[in-house]
Amino acid sequence: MASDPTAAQVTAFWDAMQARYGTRIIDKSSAAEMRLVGWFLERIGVLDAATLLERFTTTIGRRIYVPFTPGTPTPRHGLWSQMVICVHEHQHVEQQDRDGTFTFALRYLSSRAARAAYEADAYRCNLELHHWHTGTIRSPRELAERLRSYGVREADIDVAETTLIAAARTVKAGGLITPASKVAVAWLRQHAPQLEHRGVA
Amino acid sequence: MKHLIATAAFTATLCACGPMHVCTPTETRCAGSFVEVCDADGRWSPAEDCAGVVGADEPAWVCCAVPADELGPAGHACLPPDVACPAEEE
Repeated sequence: MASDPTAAQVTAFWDAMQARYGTRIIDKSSAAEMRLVGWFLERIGVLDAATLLERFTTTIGRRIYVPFTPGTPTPRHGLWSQMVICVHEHQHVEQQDRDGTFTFALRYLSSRAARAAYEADAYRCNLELHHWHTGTIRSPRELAERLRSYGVREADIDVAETTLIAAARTVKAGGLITPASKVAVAWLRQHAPQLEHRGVA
Repeated sequence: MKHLIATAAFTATLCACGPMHVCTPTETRCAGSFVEVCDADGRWSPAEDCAGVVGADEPAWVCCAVPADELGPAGHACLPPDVACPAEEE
C-alpha cells in the first residue's frame, strides 16, 4: 500500500485536471440548478434528489458539482477518494467530448442501457486508480452494484459487471484503458510518485 | 393498390418486430481491436478498444478470449501481446 495523499496533493491534482479539461468545480449544496436537476432526475426515476445532493458528484458539461471541498476530507469522501472521484468525473467529460454533449445527455437520460454503459466506463477509472495506488483489483461486482442508485435494470448491472471484469483483467495485466486515467496517472507519476504502490515493475 | 398493400404489410411486419435482439446479455466477443459486450437490450456494444490501451508492453494490446479466473467467468479482454491469448492455447 502506498502512502496517503496530502490535502495539498489533492488540491493540486484537482487544479491540474481542471486546467487540462477546462472544467470548473461548483459547491453542490449552494447550486440552485442542482436542486432542479435533483427534482428532474427523481421525476424520471434515475435518482432521488436527496441522494443526488448529499452523496453524488455530478458533471454537466464542463461544470462538476461536488458535495465536498477538494483537499478537505469528510467521513464519506476521504482524500484518496476525492482524487478517484476527480478522475471518474473527468471521464464523463471525455464521454461528452467523444459523443457530443447533447447526445451524451439524451442517451444518459433516456436509455438505461446507455446510462449503465457510461457509468461502467467511468467506474473503470476507479479500478485503474485503485490498482495504481494499491496494486490490487477492486471487485467488479462491488463497483457494478453502485449502479443500483442510477435507476437501471438488474440486467444492466450484470452487463456493467461484465464490462468491469474485462477491464479488471486488462488493469491487472498493467494496462490503462480510459483517457482520463491516462491523464491522471501521468500527472501523479510526475507530481506524487509516492502514491503509487510499491513493487511496481 | 396491390403494391401499396404489400408495402404497408412489409412496414407493419418490420415495426411489429421491435428492437432486434442479436446477442445474449453479458455475452462478450472480440471485434477487431475491440472487446464488445452484449447489453441488456441484446445489442453488441464496444466496451474496450485494445488499440488504445497503454501499458509497459509495446506493440498494441490485443483482444483475447480468456478463461474463467478469480475475477469472473470466461470472456474477452485486452491483454498484452506476450500473454495473449490464454484460452486459445487449449
